Amino acid sequence: MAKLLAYFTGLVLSLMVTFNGLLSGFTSAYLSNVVYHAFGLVFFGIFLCLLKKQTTTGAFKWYYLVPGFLGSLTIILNNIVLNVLGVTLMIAFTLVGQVITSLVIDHWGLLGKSISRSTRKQWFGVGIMIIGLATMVL
Amino acid sequence: MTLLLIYGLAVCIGVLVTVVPIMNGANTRVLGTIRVSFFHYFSASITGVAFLLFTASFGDIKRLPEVPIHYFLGGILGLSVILLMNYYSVRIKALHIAILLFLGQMTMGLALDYFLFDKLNVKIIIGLLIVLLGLIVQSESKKSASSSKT
Repeated sequence: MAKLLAYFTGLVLSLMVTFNGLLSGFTSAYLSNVVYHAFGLVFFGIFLCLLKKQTTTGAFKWYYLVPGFLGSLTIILNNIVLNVLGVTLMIAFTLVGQVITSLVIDHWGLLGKSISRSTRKQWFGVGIMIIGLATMVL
Repeated sequence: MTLLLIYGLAVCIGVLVTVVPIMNGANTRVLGTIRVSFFHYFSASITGVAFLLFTASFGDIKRLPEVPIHYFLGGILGLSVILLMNYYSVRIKALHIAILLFLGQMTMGLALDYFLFDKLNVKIIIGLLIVLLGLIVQSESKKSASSSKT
């Protein structure tokens, strides 16, 4: 069941970036980003009000806002890239970026993660992925 | 040159998509899931409005009533993704998450590119299979590297 849901989430993710891209084509990449995040803001705002007593209350730090800033940048870039590359190419390039970033973070233990040295075999896998990307665009 | 920049931006999305959940995960230990999600969307919305101001794109709001209603589904689907990920990410292996998520994205991506964007060709399908092979090699190596340490 969980595996099926993981596959299903992949389907939904592609649909999500496509609808955002279509909205940005109709309006702009920036407005589409605001509309996308407004849904989440309202949803979690209501959730937060309903569960106020049950949520933890740590002191607010400015860096709690950094992921949201980066999330906004992600959706704007998604909207710009999708309309040029289409869904498949964009996802393939994004995946390679994800894998390389994960390897670098784990190798040096960045962002508070424990160190897990990358192996040559892993970079060989990344090399194959880059060959795949080259096949798609050349 | 412009296309190269777009490829670079697509890779940057991958960097951001990896870094953001790690940062949110660290904040969750202090604030809890709901508050972290709220702060995430709050900050993202403020940033989005700032981008609208800086790029003078506020005028596009006038076009919103003309937008077909299903174009707004992105926000709702984004929320569903978060809830789904919370459910299955603790129940299956990271290797399966990466591969199944990629396969799902690719299935829908190929269909959308074919029917909507008219960008599908044989080169893309062959390239995708090679990328999938690379992902499996990379993930399997990671698994064997971590199991050899224990």
